[in-house]
Amino acid sequence: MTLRPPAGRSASVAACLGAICLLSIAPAAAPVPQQGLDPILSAYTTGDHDVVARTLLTSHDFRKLRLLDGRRLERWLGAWSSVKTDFLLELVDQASVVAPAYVGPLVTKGQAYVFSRGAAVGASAQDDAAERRWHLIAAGVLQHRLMGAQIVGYIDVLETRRPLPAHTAVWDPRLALARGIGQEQVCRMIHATARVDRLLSEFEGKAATPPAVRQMAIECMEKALRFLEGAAAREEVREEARTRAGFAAFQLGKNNEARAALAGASGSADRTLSYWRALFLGRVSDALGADADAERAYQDAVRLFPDAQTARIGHALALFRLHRDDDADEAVLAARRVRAEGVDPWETYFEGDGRFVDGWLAAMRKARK
Amino acid sequence: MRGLCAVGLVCAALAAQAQEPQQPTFRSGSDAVTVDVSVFDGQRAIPGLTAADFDVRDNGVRQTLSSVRPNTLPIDVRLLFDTSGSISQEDLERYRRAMARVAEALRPVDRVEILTFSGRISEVVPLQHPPITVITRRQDRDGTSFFDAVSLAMVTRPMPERRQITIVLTDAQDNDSFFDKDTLYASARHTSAVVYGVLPTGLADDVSRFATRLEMVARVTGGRLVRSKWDGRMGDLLIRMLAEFRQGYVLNYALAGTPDPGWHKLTVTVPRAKYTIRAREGYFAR
Repeated sequence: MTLRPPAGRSASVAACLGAICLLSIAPAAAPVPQQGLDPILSAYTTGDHDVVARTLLTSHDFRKLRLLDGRRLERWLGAWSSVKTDFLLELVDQASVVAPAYVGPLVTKGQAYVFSRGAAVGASAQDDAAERRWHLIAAGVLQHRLMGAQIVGYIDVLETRRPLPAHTAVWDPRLALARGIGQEQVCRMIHATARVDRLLSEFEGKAATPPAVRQMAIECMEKALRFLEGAAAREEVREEARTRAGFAAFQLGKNNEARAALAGASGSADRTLSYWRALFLGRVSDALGADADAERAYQDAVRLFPDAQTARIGHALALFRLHRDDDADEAVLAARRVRAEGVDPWETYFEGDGRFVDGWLAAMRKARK
Repeated sequence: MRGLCAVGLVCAALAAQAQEPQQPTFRSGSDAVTVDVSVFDGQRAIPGLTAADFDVRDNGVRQTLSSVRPNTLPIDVRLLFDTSGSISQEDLERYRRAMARVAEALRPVDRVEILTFSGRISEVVPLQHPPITVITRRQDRDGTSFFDAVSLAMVTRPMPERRQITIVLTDAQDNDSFFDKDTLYASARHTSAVVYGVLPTGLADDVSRFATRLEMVARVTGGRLVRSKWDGRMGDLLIRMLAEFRQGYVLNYALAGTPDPGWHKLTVTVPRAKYTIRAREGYFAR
């Protein structure tokens, strides 16, 4: 029963902040690599898009390439090219799978490399597309690895170097959401929930969250809420921004505000997003004592993902509170018996755009052919 | 009062279905409340108490007990094992033996169901009469969803003809739940089962700071929290808990003087002696 970082379920290295990772794995006097990046890049350039995944199988393979040696990598990258930008994304993605500690440093280096492109934004549609793809996928991988602090920092730098609205061409609308998601991840690391559990104060005793930590968690979540509300100004991500803002507001105990945000997030064709919205609406309704509304919301979530245990638990609990014994019995059994391989999108909520990365990479490879 | 029927509270119609001949029935129009109570003098269970010995207050209003009986009714046992983290094959085997021992200690009229959880909750043995076959296996999902799992384990159907006990073995750590303490507390207030918690001792990690989570559930439902090593004697410990539950009393009364729906606070005492009394803190009237 070792305590895992309080974060999403599929990532095993959740709290890896770039600098810390770098220090902890920096090789001591590593030998000059026998086989550098050139042959891998060469194969990649000729259309062998699996070469990175096939060649770099472990963190040891990354170490051999001395990818944490910033100057060396910089020298190898040289002048900016869209091919190398895409190739770096492949490295980042593969690092995410087999060598998570390399993700942060590679993204930092890659971001600087992208900014080094000579031509101004707007001069070349192709180069703009490559840069835009880089930011989107790099931020997506950071989200998948739950590297919240680095995501927030990444977007801060991006805003400085590519301020809007002059640089719209390299800003995917989803990047507006990334900072909010990153901040949610930061909050998650501080405390599982920033919500004030007044009801339970009598039981907490020494186990209660220290006031300073609680205050920090609240301030963190308020910041996340602000970021997400800001992101809701972009129509393309409005529904997700409002859904996440609703959950953030709920965690702050602002239940009516949460309900309003969630109400404004309806109508998405994204099934995962609709599930999250229904799930959060269930929780908010719970908190407002509206058990019948909660039951309907959880039922909606169950319809979207019948194997999602989280929604089924919420549904069973709502029926239980409504004293609908037969229905509650049935819901409990259904919750306990969900298929082990069944999908529960709650489990990937904190990974944000991580759910899109595979698709984005596939599109990138297709475009390279 | 109309339609009053709650956790720990049995409607007239339900009570009339009781199978045991000694089970009291309540006429239509009355609202029957059933409460599990354990009475101890130190470690010793106190036998032989009668209705005259108990003082029961429901929302502060003294109630007249219609019956006080030793807890000889059939029982439903729900076992919930935390199998998250670095549980070894040896640990799993120890759990399996403990589960099997509990089942062996049950009477043919009793029933048992067994659940495990890590990131998700799974049914190992569905509710059934003994004997049972237990097969434990490691779950693929990592993480620990304590609040989700224990909240779900609180869902019970009030049964006038049976008593319900839920035993939760966990270190109460959580890093993966969607639900939280509020949900758990609300669920514990609704459950009709008496909940016992077993918190491991002697772990490398000091988990005592999480004990309040389990303590709260046990206290609200009239059970208790036990700290113990999770070793080969775990089965004995669980059987002692069952025995303790069976040494208790089942109190019945027809609710009077406090007809409000919602949460009813219960206070049970034995005025003539300084005994330790364990009873649920209240129930929800429907």
